[in-house]
Order: sequence, then structure tokens, then C-alpha cells
Amino acid sequence: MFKIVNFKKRNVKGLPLQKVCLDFALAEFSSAIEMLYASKKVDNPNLAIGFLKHSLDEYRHTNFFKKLIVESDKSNSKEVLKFVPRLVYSKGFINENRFLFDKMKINEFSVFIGVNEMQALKIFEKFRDQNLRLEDSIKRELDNIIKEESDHSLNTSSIFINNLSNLIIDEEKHSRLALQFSKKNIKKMKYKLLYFKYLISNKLRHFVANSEFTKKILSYIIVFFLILLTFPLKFALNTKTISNGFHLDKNDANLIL
Amino acid sequence: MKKYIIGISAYYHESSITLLSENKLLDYIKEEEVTRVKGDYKFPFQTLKLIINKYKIKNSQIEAIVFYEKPFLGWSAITYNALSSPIKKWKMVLNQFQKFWTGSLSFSSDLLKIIKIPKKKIFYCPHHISHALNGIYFTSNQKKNFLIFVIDGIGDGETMSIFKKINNEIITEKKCVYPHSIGLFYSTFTQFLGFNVNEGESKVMGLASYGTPIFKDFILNKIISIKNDEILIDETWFSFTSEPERSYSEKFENKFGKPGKLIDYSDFKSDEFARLANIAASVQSATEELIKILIAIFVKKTSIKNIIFSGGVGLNSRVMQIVSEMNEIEELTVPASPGDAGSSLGAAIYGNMVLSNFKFPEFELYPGKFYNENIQSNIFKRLFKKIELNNGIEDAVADLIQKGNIIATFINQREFGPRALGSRSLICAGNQNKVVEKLNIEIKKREKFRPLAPMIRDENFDKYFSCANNSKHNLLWMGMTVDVKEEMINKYPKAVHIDHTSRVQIINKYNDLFYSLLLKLEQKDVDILINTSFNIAGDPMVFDFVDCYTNMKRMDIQYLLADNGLYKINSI
Repeated sequence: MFKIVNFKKRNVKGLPLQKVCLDFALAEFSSAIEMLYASKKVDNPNLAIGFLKHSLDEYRHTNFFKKLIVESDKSNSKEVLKFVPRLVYSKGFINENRFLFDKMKINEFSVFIGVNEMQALKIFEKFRDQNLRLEDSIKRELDNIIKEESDHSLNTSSIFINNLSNLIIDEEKHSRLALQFSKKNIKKMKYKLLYFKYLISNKLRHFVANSEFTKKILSYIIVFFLILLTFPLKFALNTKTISNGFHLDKNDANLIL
Repeated sequence: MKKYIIGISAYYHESSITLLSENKLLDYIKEEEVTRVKGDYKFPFQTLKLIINKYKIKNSQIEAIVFYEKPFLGWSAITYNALSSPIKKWKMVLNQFQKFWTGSLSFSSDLLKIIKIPKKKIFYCPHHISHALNGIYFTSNQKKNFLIFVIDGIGDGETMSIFKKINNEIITEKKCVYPHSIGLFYSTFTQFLGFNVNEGESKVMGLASYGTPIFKDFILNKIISIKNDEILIDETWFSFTSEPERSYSEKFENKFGKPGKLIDYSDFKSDEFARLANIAASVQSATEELIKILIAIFVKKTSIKNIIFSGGVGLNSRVMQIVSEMNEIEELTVPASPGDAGSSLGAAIYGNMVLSNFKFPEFELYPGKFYNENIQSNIFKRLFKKIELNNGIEDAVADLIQKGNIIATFINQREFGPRALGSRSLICAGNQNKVVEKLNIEIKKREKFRPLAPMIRDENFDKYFSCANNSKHNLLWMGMTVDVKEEMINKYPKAVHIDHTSRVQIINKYNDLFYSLLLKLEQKDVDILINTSFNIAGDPMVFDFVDCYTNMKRMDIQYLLADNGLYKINSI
């Protein structure tokens, strides 16, 4: 995983393991497709295979969290959270215009992966520890799931912990490999500059992504002013009377209404 | 110098690009196939770059780039509705103002990030016209007169358009406007039942057969109806006009109970499954009824009995079967991709027509080419190993299939539309029940209630299926379901849905690889193949060799059938 996850203690305490898992699943999924894309674009065949392996790992992690989203869906909860792939755009996990590999040179790309995987590792460790502290509630949740859905593959809470541990090992490996590659190919000074650049910019991204309350307040204020400003113009938007027929005319074809 | 017309659909459903040149359909690609993000709706940046590179298109060669709607109309219809009660619908107001900068109104600025062409070469096709032209393209004879039904969620503020196509003219017969929409009505139930909107509608259709339509009359009396040939919904049941994320209201929930969750569908025998299946059956049955009423009204009014049905509702293959069986009609055509993703074709045709009058490109169901230039051959060799064959490739594949193997296919010339028609498919023998079940549940990870589709040679069709003959051409692209005969239920039970229908694909001599493969299999007493798309549920269909590899690895499939040979997957 090398993108932002909205992970805070209150997320786990209040609801939702499900919500946290959704963000993790989206982050892992976005990494999977970024790496897949890189594997198709890179010239070096060994790197292509490496990226492909990384991508397959990330797909596997995505599945783990997707499964957890479904499994941790409390029967009395009204909120339905679903893994919808296109959320990777609206939640900012992937840039709409281009993939990272198109934006960065290979060396920069590898530092980016290395730094992000390292941070992902810390987040996963925090998540695991959080779960250990909340072991009873998660265990209860998992026990219920086990009772109700015995045919699902998630059988015991220990499987959950083991899977997460494997996932952390993967992230460690991804980070180590990417940073090793960067150190080998980039001058020391430049490597350090890039390393700190992504370390700081990632922290900023985490801060922005986690500021949901601020964003909500801001939207209320914006919408209030928008309504004030545009309500008098409402009638200009009434398009019911506009004819939208079939005219094979160039001038008509150029119009947006 | 070759000239090109590019059709684009984007911003709502799966975005796509269609490329026309010299009156030929050259290519059709969905953005999701390239980005690997299922349901990718954004402007197709990646696909456009790919197409320009692949065909080495220079700006001067582009005659027109055509967008599949009039952006201001769609935006203003929803905004106007939201501003009618801005306090209650404030979330929608905010959403619409965000969309002013990020939605389809930004089409030309997004486009100009990739291609610098003069604005006079950018055309905007009325949304339902792009659906209608897409529909006409798939008819058996484009010169005939047709009555065209375009029914979807919303496009250009419209939810239903009925056109008469008479000679070279398309005349509007009827229009219904937002929010009175059969498409949005169906999507609301899709969301309520726990599925993703724009993707889960086919799951609702499949689920419907397991239930009893106990709410059908209630729905038609209280929620949606047709009065004086107008669709009318009671807005109090819905919240799609006020909330961008949620479609059903509190009142809806009070009536139909707790919304469905994916976990509820794991046990067929549970009360919860039965409750949700009954709701699905009710919405499906109500939709069938509404469509039948509309078709009967307008066939009577216009006396045109050749019908084209396009728009997202056309993806409901069960409704299409019911329409094809109506006594009032003579012929039904449902395009291979009736939804918005297929509308980039309609938009491109519109551009072709604006530039060269009422002229349709030549018919092509398999337009896409290989996109494997970037795969170095030594990488390909590390991913796949070619199998040396003693006999023909069909013999080898038939043997593997008979032994219970599942074969992935990656054939040049990709299929048009959302359904795998052999070029990007997973196939296995239709009579091996355990293999079919493994393919559906373990490999594809589909819900248990969703059936898999059979593939059969046209000549054998009547042995197992029955269908209105003048609508049979839709089965070349699985455009509708058909009833199965007793022999099918006995010999291929896993390819039959619980309501004794199948969404069959017929293979004719045009599709020579599958035609000869089926001939070989018939010698082994297998005349039906199971055909499902080459992807894991929730992922787009594979696009190139690397996708083939990752998907095969994730699904644990060993064999890949390509034009130039049979391959086995390697470990890396």
C-alpha cells in the first residue's frame, strides 16, 4: 500500500472496523493497479516482473480487506459500506489524469514506493495493535461472524491476526526492495531529498484526508452562499422548453445545449 | 491520409471511446479495461492516449471528436430540480456545483489536455440520440423503419425518449424528463438490495427469479406508474433528487424493511434471502409491466412494429425477452451495449452523419485489436509457455475441456459491449456440473444465485432453446434471455437459470474458432460450452497479456487460448 488511509483511534472505537477496512482495501487496490500499470510500462524485464509480483501481493491484500468489510458488517448496522473500485478517484487514492509511473521517473517512483510502503507498514502495525487492545470486541465480532457464516474462509480471529502479520511482512519487503533499488541508482544527496520530500508530503496528505470535520463545515458554508447566489437564477436553468431533436447540422453539433 | 472520428462517453457510467475511420468501426475501448478500475467513469484520459499512440493519429487527421451528450442540459436539469427546494436538497445543490467544475461540462477542457484541436471539431450529440444510433447500428437492416425506445436513468435531463426512424429521418415521438425515470427507479432498488448502482442491476434481475413479486401491485399503484403515456414516480419514496449517495427515502425503508447486505445472499434458505428475493421479483415484474405498457401504447399509436430498445434498461435481458415475445411487435433489436458505455459508438456515428449525411459505418461486432506492443517478447515468455501441439489447436482445447479444464481465451478482435463473446472469456464444458459450479463460485466469485451463460452453434439452437425468430440476431451478443427446453434442463442444468431461461450466445460460421471448437466438442457429446467473462467479479475484463497473467494467477487458471497457440502459465 502506498496511499493515504484515514486511520485514527476514534474510527476504530466508534464504528467501524468496516470503515477502516474499506479505506485499507481501496489503498491496497490503488497500489495494485499502479504497480500493474508500471509493470506494463517499464522497459527492464526484471523490474516488470518485480512490479507484477508486487501488484499480485497488493491484490491479495485487497481481497483480505474486502472480505473483512463483508464479514464485519454488523447485522444491526444501518450503514452499508461497500467496496466500489471507482472510489479510488473520489477518495483521492489515484490521480484521474495519469498514473504515478507516468508522472515520475523510475528512480523517483521507487523512492515514493519505498517511503509509502514504510508508512503503510507503520499504519498496519498500529491497526494490529489497536485490534489487540480492542481484542474482545473484535473477537466477539469475529466469533459472531464465525457462527453465522461458517462457510466463509475467515474462521478464527487468529487467522485474522496471521493474515495481517503476513501482510505486514509483505509491506516490509516492498519498502525494503524499493528503497534498496533507489539507493543503488540515485546519488546519496538526491535520494535523501526525495526521501524527505515524500515523507513530508505524505504526512500532509494524511492530515488533509483526515480533516473530515473541517471539510464538512466548509461545505455547509459554501452551499449556503451558493444557494443565496444562485437561487434567483434558478429559472434560467429550466431547460424543459429547449428542443433537443435530431439535427444533422454542424452548428447545432457544436452546442453544449 | 486517413481521417478519424472519435466518439466519447464519460462522467457517469463506464467511460469509453469508439474510433471510426473511412466508415469502418476500428476500435472500441472502455477506460476501465485500461485503468483496471471497474466502472471507471472519469474522462478516458488513458484510453485516448492509448488510441492516439496505437493508430498514430495526428491532430490534423481528426475530423471530429463527439461527446455523447449535451453537457449543459444534463447538469441544468438536475440543478434546476435541486434548487426547487434548496434547503431539503442542499446536498444535491452542493454536488451539482462541484460537478460544474468536474462533471461533463469540463469535457472540452479535459479533452484539450490530451489533444489540441479547434473547438469547432468538438461535437455534442444529444444523449438519447447517441443511444438511438447505437441501436440502429445493430439492426439486421438499417434501411427499415423503426420505433426506437431509449429508456435509461437520465441523460440530458431526459429519462425516456421514443423516436420514429423513417427513411433517413429520426423524429421525436415522446420524451419524459427527470426525475420520472424507470432507470433510476430500478437503480434505487438495486442500491436498497445491497448492490452497487450501475453494476448490480443484473444481479437484481438474477435474484428476482428466486422470489415472488408480492409488492408488484403496490409498486405500480403507489411508487411508479404510466399515466397518459407519461412515466410518473412519487418522489417521496426516493432520495436521489436530494442526496447524491443514497437513492431511497425513509418512507421507502419503512415499507420494505432493512436494506440488503451482501452477506444476506450467502444462504438461499434463509428468511432474509427470501425477503430480498421477493423485493427483487417485485421490482423486476413491475419494470416488465411498465415497459410492456409503453411499447403497446406507442406501437398502436405509430403502427411501427419493428422495435429498437436502447438505454441502460436494455441491459435487462429478461425484460428484453418479454418484449420480444409481445404479440404487438414483429422484430426486436437490442444493441450489444445498450447502456452509456456503448453510446460512444452512437456519438461517433452522429459525427459521421453530421459530416457525411445519414450514413452508418459497416457492421463489426469484434472491432478491438491487440494491445500488446509494450509487452516485450521476453517478458511474455517468462509469463507463458507455448504448448507444442501434435494436432490442431481445436483438438487440443477440446481434449483439455473434456478433461474438466477451464480455458481462458485471449483472441485478437475484442468483442463490443459488456458481455464476453469468446475473445475474452473463460470457457468449460456445459455438462460438467462440478466444473461449472467451481468456475462460478470459487473462480469468478460470483453470487450463488447468478447463472452462467451457454454458448452453442446456431444449427443446434432449436434443440435446446426457443425464441421469437425475428429477434434471434440479438443472441449473437447475448442481448436477451430465452426459454430453455426440457432437454437443456436434463443435460445442462448448470447453464439454466431457476426460471428456466438462459442468456445464450449463438455461434455462426463468422466466428470460425469457436464454431470449429464446438464441432470438435460435439464429437465428444458436448454441444454447449459455458462462457463467462475473463475477469474476477468486481474487476474489468482483461485487456492485454499482463492482465491475462494476473487474472489467471489470481483465479488459478492454467491454460490460455490465443490466436497463435495454446499457452500454459509460468511461475514468476
